[in-house]
Amino acid sequence: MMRSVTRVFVPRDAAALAVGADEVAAALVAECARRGRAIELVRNGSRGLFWLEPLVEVATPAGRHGLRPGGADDVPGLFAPGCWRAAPSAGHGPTDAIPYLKRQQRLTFARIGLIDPLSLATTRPMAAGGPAPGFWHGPGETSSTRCCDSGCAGAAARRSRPASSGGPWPRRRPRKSTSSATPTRATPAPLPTAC
Amino acid sequence: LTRHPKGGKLALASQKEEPALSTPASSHPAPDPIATVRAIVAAHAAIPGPLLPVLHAVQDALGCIPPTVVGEIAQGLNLSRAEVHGVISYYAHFRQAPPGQHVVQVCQAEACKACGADALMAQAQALLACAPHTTRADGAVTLEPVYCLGLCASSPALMVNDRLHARVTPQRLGQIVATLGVPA
Repeated sequence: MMRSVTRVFVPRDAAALAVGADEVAAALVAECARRGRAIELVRNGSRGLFWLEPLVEVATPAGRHGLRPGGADDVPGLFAPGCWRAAPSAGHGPTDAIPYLKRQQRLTFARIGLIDPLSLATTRPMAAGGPAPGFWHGPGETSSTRCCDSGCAGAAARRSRPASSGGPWPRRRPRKSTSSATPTRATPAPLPTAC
Repeated sequence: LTRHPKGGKLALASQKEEPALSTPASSHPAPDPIATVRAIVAAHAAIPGPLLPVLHAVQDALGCIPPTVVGEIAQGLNLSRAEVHGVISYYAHFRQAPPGQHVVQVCQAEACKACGADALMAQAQALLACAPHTTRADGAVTLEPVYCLGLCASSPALMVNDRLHARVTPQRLGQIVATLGVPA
């Protein structure tokens, strides 16, 4: 019988890495290879329960199920019967049902820790019900034009904007020299006055 | 916790692997400090408030910010030497002399203090034969107190060569130090 691919989450937040999340992820991949078990490893952010890190989660039909290996040496124990199902006796049970999480009302942090923070492919569907329509791209827009037009453009956006288009950000000018002496070295290149 | 101005740098989301043991620094030609600084300043010329990013980049490239390059940074950013020196000397993160081959930073802020940071520092001092705030005479290790690595919920914490370690027990500290291969 062909087994389906199981999604397994091991955080890569600094707080998780500091307690061995990388080692746990490597051990998990090695153990799955040894057992011939197919997984999709997702390096998500932390759910915020730092005292449970490294918090390994397994996606089950009943939701994500939390497991807590003490370290890489404990990874083989994660394959005990029931661990990869939402069995109440194994691990922490459904992560969302952990009282500290369940009691919280998360707004801006609602998506924190659920997905790989560097994956646009998984971020977009999750954001569909949140930001205003057209948040990602309007017709004929690119990320840089939208960023520039928002008025909070950063350095990268300024560099990508045509020099003639102007913008709301302040322009920098080189400070006037207070010394009349002839400079002994080449004058540094003037700071850009246009974006 | 807020970051103490004399504290270490903030915890990084992505950590570097610890370098291989006893990597001789002489295996790579030393970069020309002035040329390195000029390139870094040029790369940051277009951003507002470039001084701190420049100082970080210089330290990352050279290992420290030697006094000999302060004038070059000041010239390149159109600042006075005093302004640049003031920022370098204000933040303990910026070094004016090269550190040891390994840098061990033990958090001494409130949460870690409450969870045994003093004992951890004393143990590190004994294991490494190095006093806090100093680099060993053989250049093998630098031991520093830092004031918040951002891991208060997982105290006590320390950082070794830019790699974070949390919930550090005396036994774990012994293992970490052993991997450094620092002679006693």
